[in-house]
Amino acid sequence: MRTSFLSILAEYTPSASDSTALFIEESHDEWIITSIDRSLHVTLKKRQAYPVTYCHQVDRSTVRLGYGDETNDEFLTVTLRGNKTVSIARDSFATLPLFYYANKSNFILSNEYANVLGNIKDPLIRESVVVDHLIIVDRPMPPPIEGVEVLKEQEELVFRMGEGLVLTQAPDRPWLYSLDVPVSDPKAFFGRFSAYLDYFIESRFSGQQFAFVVSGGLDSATLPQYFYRKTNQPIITTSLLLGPPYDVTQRPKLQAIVEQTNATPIVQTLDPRTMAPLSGMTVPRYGEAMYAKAFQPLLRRLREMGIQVLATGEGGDEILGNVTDESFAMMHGKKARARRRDMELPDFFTPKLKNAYLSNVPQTPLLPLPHRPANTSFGQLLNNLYIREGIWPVSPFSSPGLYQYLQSIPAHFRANKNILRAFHKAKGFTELIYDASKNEFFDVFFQECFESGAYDTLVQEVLSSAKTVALGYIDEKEVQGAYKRIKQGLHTDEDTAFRLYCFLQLEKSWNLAGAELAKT
Amino acid sequence: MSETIFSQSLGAAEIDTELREIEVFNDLVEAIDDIPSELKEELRAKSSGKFGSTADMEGDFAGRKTD
Repeated sequence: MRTSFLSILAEYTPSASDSTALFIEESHDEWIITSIDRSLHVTLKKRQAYPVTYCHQVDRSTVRLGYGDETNDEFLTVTLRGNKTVSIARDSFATLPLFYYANKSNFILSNEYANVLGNIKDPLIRESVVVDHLIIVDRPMPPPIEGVEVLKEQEELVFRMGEGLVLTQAPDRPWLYSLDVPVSDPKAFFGRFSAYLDYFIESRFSGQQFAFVVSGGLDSATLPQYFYRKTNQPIITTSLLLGPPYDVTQRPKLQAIVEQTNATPIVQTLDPRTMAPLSGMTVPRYGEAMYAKAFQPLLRRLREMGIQVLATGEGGDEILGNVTDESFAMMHGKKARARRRDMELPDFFTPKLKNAYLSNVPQTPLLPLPHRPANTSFGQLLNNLYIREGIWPVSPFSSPGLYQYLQSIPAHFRANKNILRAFHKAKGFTELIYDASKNEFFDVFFQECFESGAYDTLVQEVLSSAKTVALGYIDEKEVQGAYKRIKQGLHTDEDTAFRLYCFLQLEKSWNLAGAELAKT
Repeated sequence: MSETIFSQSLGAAEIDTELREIEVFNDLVEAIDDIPSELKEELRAKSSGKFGSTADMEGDFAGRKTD
């Protein structure tokens, strides 16, 4: 199978053995590893930039591949033993999406969801998570196709042909609530954060061609301004520009960063008529980034300019949070039930769906305590946009170490991101950003997509064969009504539009995958 | 984990600038800390707050806008 980065296709044969010889075939842009009987086929793209990929023969029947420093658990390593055993140690920074499927005799893994689905014989819809996908529950959900999973940060996977798969979850993070982390002096933040940014710049940018995504917000404006202050090197920034009314405040902020950093700006204006999420989707996707269509031309342009590493502000909102309770992702039992009961859900969700949502409440927390905020880690694990263009996204805020350190700073310094704003002011960064009088809301673009009529055809196409309607979870007439009201701007809550979008995405995705409901 | 985030490395040429910046930063930290202890406690106990959410970002940054 063709891949944008990494794929593994293993099919059991009775002669499978850990001592079967493996062969590495090398072309200008990828390695292909096969066993003599072709029951194993692995592809890894070559990458010279951060994180550099590698593939080498340990002995005649063992091959090791991955990216970054092989001895550092910050990076991914894959070990192949003959045509029988595949071992994967997932990286702690887990940026690349990795989907997989396994039964006793087959193992399929790829960073592309469509690749995994394309190699499953007769894919089945996983009915147990349909409800979760429609409502978007408070925890990361497995993909809606039976047997397909996401390999998450720090997980370890061993597949042995003929025996199946063993997965070891990541260990819990060493603290439960923010108060468990010993308090640190907030005045130390300046030095520690500076040292961290220095390390980040050295480890991610040294010898690379890189650029910075800036939105006009505080988080994404941190690293470019710090970098320019430190090095005096002109930079490249890239931005999505909102339409009215937010462009009025966003433009001056972007301009201020450009002036502060002597940047070359690459800007794409968001157009709801041509860039609506899901429009033009031809292969099944899971968790497609909301701004995928808008970002694609930007990323293509950056690739043409030779950019290989792209810094974002992803995770900034979450990393300064204050954890004093179970996170939504961990919630279970009575508390989760009460929260679900109090949720306002749209009328196109039938009583059957709402009841199923309540009875679906997990009795135990399913996840280990995450080392990064759940939103941050899972958001990254679903986004292939960058890597398809050969660009690796990095964010200083997507760091397990920084997350734990920030929890040690008293809550009132994290509230309103005060400590980060103080850092900006002390460094002399642009005031327009650290003390903004008005903020932009990118969600407005989503509403505009609906109002522009971008989903007229898709709504009718999906409703004509919707499996969730057949299951009795979705009321077709209410969908029509809700869509009409959203288009007319009569639904003022963002939730209804978002839930309608989730319904469209789910149906479109499994239709493209050719997935069926189980007969039993 | 090899992340080395807890050591500070100051370049000799930038030391004066950095000292001035630290002075400004420390004054700002004291300003942020200058709120009633009840409010600090309220924030400390606040459940699962995503304090950095965009809704909290508007207004005076010096830490008093915490309602």
